[in-house]
Amino acid sequence: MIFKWKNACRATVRCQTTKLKFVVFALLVCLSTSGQLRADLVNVLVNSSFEEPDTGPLPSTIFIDQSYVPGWKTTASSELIEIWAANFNGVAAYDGQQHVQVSADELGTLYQDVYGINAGENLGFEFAHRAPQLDRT
Amino acid sequence: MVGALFQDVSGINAGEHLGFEFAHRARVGTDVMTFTITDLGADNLLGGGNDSILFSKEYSATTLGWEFNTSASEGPIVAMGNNIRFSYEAVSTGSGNLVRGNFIDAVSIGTVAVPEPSTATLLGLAAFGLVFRRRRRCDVANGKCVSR
Repeated sequence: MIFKWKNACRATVRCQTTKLKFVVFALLVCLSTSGQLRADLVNVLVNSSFEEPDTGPLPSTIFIDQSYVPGWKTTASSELIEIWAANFNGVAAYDGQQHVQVSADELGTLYQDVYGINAGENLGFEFAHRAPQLDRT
Repeated sequence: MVGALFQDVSGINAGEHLGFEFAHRARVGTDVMTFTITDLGADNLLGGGNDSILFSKEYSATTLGWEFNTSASEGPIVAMGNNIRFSYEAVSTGSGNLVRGNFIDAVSIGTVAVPEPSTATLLGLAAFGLVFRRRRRCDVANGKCVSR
């Protein structure tokens, strides 16, 4: 190594350039070590890669109660967590077979307030209902 | 109201430094979410007026692939000794619907070791010493390097 350094410095211009490069490199190393030097992260989370519960080998997205998902909870009142598995919709997990969507669902109520109905009147209703397409929220 | 996905963790001592890493990907277009680390205060519960935000940042990702984010370039995140909540919440999504976007995976959060100042100083001095040695070895005399 020392021998190579001597050889590299025989030509004046090359010597100066090489020397300058090394000084810059060494200074960068010095700067990087004078800041925070982070050692390995000691992970404290459980179920880091959302592989539990195992939702099976078929591509799927499921909404599952947080009590079945070790470690993780949601502030959503539905308490549902949405797990995507096995390349569902062409999205491969970053790690393992499963990942999650940060927000599973949105609970809302469509409503109308009505006035002018007298006490004792009988109420009736009718409406149509169907499920959305497969690609749910 | 959109739900936030979180874990509460106990047993991290005051003064310990925290680190994190996670993968983030959009479902449609570009998705944005907030990652927040909160000290839950003496009651170890969210709210109650004694919570402290230790770290909070918005992260953006597209459908081109997973973005792997880490705390490596962040300043010190220091625990206060209470339970800590690590939380993800959608900010915006390419789908226009907050509950259709922001995938996460491979989440690691925990403590990281930080060298004592004296150690960092020693490392810095060592690097400076290395530079000085190289510079002396490459001093030029008549167009050539002279070894010591």
